[in-house]
Amino acid sequence: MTESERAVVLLVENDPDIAEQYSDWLRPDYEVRVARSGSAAVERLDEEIDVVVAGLEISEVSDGAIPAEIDDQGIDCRVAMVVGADSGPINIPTGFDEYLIEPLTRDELRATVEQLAERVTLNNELEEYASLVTRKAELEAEESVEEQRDDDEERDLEDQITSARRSVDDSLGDLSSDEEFIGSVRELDRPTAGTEAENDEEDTEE
Amino acid sequence: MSQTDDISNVLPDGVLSQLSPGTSVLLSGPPMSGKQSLALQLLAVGHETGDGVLCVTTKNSAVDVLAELETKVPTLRREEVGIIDCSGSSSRRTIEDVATMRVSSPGDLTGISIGAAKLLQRFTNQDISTVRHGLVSVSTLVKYLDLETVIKFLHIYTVRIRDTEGLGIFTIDTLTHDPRTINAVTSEFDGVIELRETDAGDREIRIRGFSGVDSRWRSYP
Repeated sequence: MTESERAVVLLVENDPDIAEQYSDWLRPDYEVRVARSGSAAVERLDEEIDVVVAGLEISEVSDGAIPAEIDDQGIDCRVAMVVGADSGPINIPTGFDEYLIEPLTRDELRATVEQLAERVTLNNELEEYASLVTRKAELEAEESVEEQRDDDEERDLEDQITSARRSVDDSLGDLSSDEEFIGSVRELDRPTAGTEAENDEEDTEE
Repeated sequence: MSQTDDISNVLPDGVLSQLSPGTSVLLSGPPMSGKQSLALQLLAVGHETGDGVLCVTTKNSAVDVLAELETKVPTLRREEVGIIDCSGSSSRRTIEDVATMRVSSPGDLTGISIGAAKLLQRFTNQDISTVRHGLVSVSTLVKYLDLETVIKFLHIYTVRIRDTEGLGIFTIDTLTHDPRTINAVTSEFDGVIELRETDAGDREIRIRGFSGVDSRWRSYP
């Protein structure tokens, strides 16, 4: 997902009325795709998808097949699981980023999807930021040994860091929220396309 | 109190009291230079004026950290202290009145953040609005994780401190790491307090990064 594109949400919901309701809520700001079953959802998974919202009553959700498929395909997306309020005691499967309890309000659904879509962006931005910071640190360390300064390169790097930090901080949002704080740190555990993206970048820069 | 006076001698410009809420400071120096002691002292000084203390410890157990805090502030109100212990200490001893969260490894950053959020909530419930955050020491994180991950974590943690208007005091051991690591970690903080030992064996201190503060080395008893 790039800044200008709308994030893509895959809704996995077998009740057509609920699916339509959720789509209506999300459509103004997202490209929404709907899968009526777990197997349809698995088929529709691709790298364009940023956020999946899936109901627990669907067997591919409750047995963890959907997060496993996302993992297998290496898709960089976040998954919210919707738990029915009347589903009683359940074993909640792992591999999900957020949990929503039915009945959902429009604001709850939209806030969660927005948060998850931002985390996809955040992860990539943090990667870029940390790589710039360590590159500058390396440059400074070399300079203090060689006693030479490349002011242009340093200024350029400084500018890039400032703008990367601004993007990261925008995506971080207000970290006085515990949920945002923990969710952001949890992103660091996630093995992403980070290393691959870095290699690609170097290829194009050469 | 004499401890407070010591601090004002150490930081003659009253640096820390002048720091705006949300600031994070890195305390750096070689091993045995008294980093941890000074860090805990800076955390404890705030306690005397009603700030909560929330400390992540990676090497020493929560019991040891509490003991050292209590030597700094004999009147420590234990219910206003929270410790996240990821030292792997086998001690199962629970500390009376002090909220302690155990995290299995210093590399478990999610565990640390969950612990920090829970402890901060506890302070909020007690109407403690200002919290001093300690992390002793960043060096252990670097040992367990790659540098870029540590930078990302420090960035998120210092933004958290900024957004909750706390004060951060983190330590790093300067001899354990290459200059690249020290430079990168330093860049995440608003300012640095450095400790060093002269050839004659005297300790010196220098404060960098804060405008209007003398950044020369001076003697530190």
